[in-house]
Amino acid sequence: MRAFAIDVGRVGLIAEDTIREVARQRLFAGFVIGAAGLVAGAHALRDFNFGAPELVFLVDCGFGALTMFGAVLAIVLPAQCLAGDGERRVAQTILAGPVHRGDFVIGKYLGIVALIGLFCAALTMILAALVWLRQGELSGAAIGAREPDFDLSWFARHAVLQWMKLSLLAAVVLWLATLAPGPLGATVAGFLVFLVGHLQPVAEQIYRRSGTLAAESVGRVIGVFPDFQLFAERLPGNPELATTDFFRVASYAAGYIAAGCALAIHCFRRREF
Amino acid sequence: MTAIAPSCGPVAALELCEVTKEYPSGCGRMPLRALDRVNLRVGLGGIFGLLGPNGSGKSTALKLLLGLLAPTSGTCRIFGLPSEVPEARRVIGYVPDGPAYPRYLTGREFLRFMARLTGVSRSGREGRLMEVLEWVGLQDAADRRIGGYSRGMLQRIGLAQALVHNPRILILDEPTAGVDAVGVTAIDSLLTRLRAEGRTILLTSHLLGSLERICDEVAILAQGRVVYAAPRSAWVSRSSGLRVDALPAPEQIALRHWVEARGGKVAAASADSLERIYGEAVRAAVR
Repeated sequence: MRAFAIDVGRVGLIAEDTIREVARQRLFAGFVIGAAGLVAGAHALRDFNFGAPELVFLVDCGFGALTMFGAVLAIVLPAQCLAGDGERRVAQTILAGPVHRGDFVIGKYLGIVALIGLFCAALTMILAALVWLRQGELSGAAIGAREPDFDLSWFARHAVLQWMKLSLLAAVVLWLATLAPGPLGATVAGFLVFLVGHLQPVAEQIYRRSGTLAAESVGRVIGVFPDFQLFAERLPGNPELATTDFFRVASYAAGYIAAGCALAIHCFRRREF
Repeated sequence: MTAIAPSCGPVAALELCEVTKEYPSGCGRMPLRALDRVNLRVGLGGIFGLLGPNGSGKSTALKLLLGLLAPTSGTCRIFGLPSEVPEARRVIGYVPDGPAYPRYLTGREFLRFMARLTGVSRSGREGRLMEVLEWVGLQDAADRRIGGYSRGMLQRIGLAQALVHNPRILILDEPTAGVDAVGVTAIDSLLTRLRAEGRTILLTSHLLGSLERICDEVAILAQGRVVYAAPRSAWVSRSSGLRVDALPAPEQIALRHWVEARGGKVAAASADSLERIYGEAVRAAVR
């Protein structure tokens, strides 16, 4: 039985090719430069901080850029790489060879996740350097007393959480891309998942509280969507996520990723070209 | 494990056995039947031409053999193995209709990717790339991005990627579409050479003259059914005349006299007999 066995060599080759494909696209380069510019330029926007401490504002702005641009990548890349390859018929030539469709799907996903990881790492390093520089400048000033103490482990943990969140989103869009006839449908559906996933805890509570059967049913459906709020790291000084919580969130993401990939493989195996 | 249904006969290189393929039309309408209980056997070695008007089911038949489509009923086999098994497709090189290859790769990178994907060993890989690039005449453009290739160059890089792993079977869907006359001749001679090496080639084309010259066997599809299938002898015997082109009329007459004086006979040229067979078969199917 070879139904779910993976050929590591071919998966790696397809992942490598996906990375090369995306890295050579102007769109990706534009996103990386745009996000890096926004993170690096956060310091210039500090007057719009609405009373928040400066470093908190810098971190909010930086991770906001990471989440915003990262989410677009996590949605657009699977849609382009899977639904787009199908629509442009590039996948035909590859799948006509001795390639299992599961290997193709997993290879594409791993390539995308690796790129998102690099994106998160690069932006986090820029942000950490910026905060470290500014922290040094502010350390002697009176305003510095209000600033939380950001250390590297906090940045690393937050970056990993964002990477997991974006990988989860990419896995869901990967599945949607196997169902959609073209990349546009998968992209639109992906943005809806992203939106519902951020509002999921609030919406679920509202629907369940209303008490009617219809509202409760809607609440249950919304409950199936991933809860992206779980991946928000608390600021230093506030009660931080305990280690067990971090692993709980990681397990939660891994579960959704496994389900998304399994569904994607299942649907892609039935797809005709 | 995939269940292996009984074959239509002795093991063939490629085989469609009682294959029907229907595409859903949606909204409760009758499904579109692209192939209707088609039986097709491509023996080992030689060039097999699959002819038919647009929409007759040629590309569907090829995609079924490649596992890109699943049959509604019937079985598709490669050397006796179900075509949906990826390992069975290891022996196949495929050139799709309307070539679409990764635009962001150079020709050489694409060939290297396909070579690695199909298991060409590292030691012989670069040499093999050079060899197939030379066969299709793309050595000079090998390091240019595929996105900048012309239609003819895309067809040639398609042929190169299909050949890179030295496959026993080639499946070519309109390999000469968009290629100029010189390119068509070059592709024909390449295919003839590959046949001489013992490879099996299944191709579709609308260039009947070209197919007539190179094919060992043809099948004509019309409205999803095989309406004609015959080996080369069936049409070669019908075109036993001598066709003389680019010779002034007086010299043609002199040639005729010369042949007849030696007891020979010059019949009216009928080199387009495959075209005639094709026309008759398709018209009969439509009626």
